[in-house]
Amino acid sequence: MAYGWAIELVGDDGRAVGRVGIAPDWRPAVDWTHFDGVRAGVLPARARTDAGAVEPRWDAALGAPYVDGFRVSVRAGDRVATRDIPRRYLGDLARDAAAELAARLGLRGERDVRWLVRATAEPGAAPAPDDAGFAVEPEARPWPVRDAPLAPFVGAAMRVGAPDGGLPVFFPPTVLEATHARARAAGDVETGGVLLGRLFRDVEPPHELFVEVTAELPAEHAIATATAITFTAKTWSAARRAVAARGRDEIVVGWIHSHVDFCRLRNCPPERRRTCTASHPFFSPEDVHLHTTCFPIGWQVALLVSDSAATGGLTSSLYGWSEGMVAPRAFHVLVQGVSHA
Amino acid sequence: MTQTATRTMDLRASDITGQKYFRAVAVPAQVTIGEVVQRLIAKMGLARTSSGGAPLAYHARLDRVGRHLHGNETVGDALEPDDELVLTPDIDAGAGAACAGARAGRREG
Repeated sequence: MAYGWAIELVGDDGRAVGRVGIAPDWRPAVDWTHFDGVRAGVLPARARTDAGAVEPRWDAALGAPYVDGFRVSVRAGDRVATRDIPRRYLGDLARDAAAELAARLGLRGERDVRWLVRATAEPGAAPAPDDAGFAVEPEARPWPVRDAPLAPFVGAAMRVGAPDGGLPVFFPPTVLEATHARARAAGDVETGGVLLGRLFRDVEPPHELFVEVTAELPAEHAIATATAITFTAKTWSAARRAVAARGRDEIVVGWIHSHVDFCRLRNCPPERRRTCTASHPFFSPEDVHLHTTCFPIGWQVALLVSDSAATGGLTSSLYGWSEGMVAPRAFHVLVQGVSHA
Repeated sequence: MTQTATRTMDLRASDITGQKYFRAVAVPAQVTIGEVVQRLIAKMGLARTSSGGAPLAYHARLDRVGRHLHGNETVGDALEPDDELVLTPDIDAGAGAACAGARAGRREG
């Protein structure tokens, strides 16, 4: 069943004041559901070929057509994984649409209205005709996952951040130190790179997936300023060549970039630095967009190195996928060597 | 009237990390690389714009010859059957508008 989606603005009196259609990008939610299905052992560990299906989860209090979440399903052969995605998945899109609609209606601002998500069934909605003259089909190639015991990694590592239920990611301290050194040497411009590593599945039940980061490669041919870094086509190609040249059976498991000390650059007063979001690690809309575009698989991660006096200098933060959204993630630092097959 | 069969070939495509794979079936030889890339972007679900709405530039790299292909080359001239194209974008990250007032230096790596 296909659905049309809309944002409805509701005033303080609970009455609808306007509605605008939206076109959500469901790919991250479908990719997440596929990944989580593989992680749970429901789906085979290979690339997704099913387009997935998204159905509304009707609001318990308001009922249809109002939505308080989404139910996403992904198939692989005769197996199906289904996950519930929260309503805030549409948060950014909904807020932008609501703000635009409120402005058009001459409303004073979001204080006067709240937004609701509506879904309307569109039975018989046909996909757009295929007019390119040749077909393009996904291939279900196996994921590069190997079996290994997770326990030695956990025993050799220190966790950074609160447990979040995400797949464990293990960093050697040398990788974190190298990214800090590069950020320090670059001064007031951002830096970037790619993370290499391996994807494993624990040999012990519940056979958790986990990532071991083995190396970081600086982003060659990147263009950096104080507030942005462009990963060019040559950047990605150089990374692929370097991975092949290393010949260590590694894969690209994520990317890295750094943020400079913006508060110092802008010479912001201390009282402003205390409350400014830029004074602490944050993932910008551009960062989310790059991660979504280039690293859409659930086990792919992003390391952010942030420089700020508020946090005592350079800090490392990890971001990754959670319920189809990019979110801060806990990670592990290996404080001892790990012996595994 | 004599009809000439159109030469076609199957091609493969992957994203930059090599974890999403697609097969383009019976691509006509006269189609340009640019047209193939646009078709692949749509079917692979790759973003067409930046977070700010500007168009994203994608390039098709052919590892077999070690170069990025030009958009106006044709499939028949540039590719062999079962060649794999890697779609690589020029794409931005960074603090962006969060702190746009910061003094801008620039470095090219």
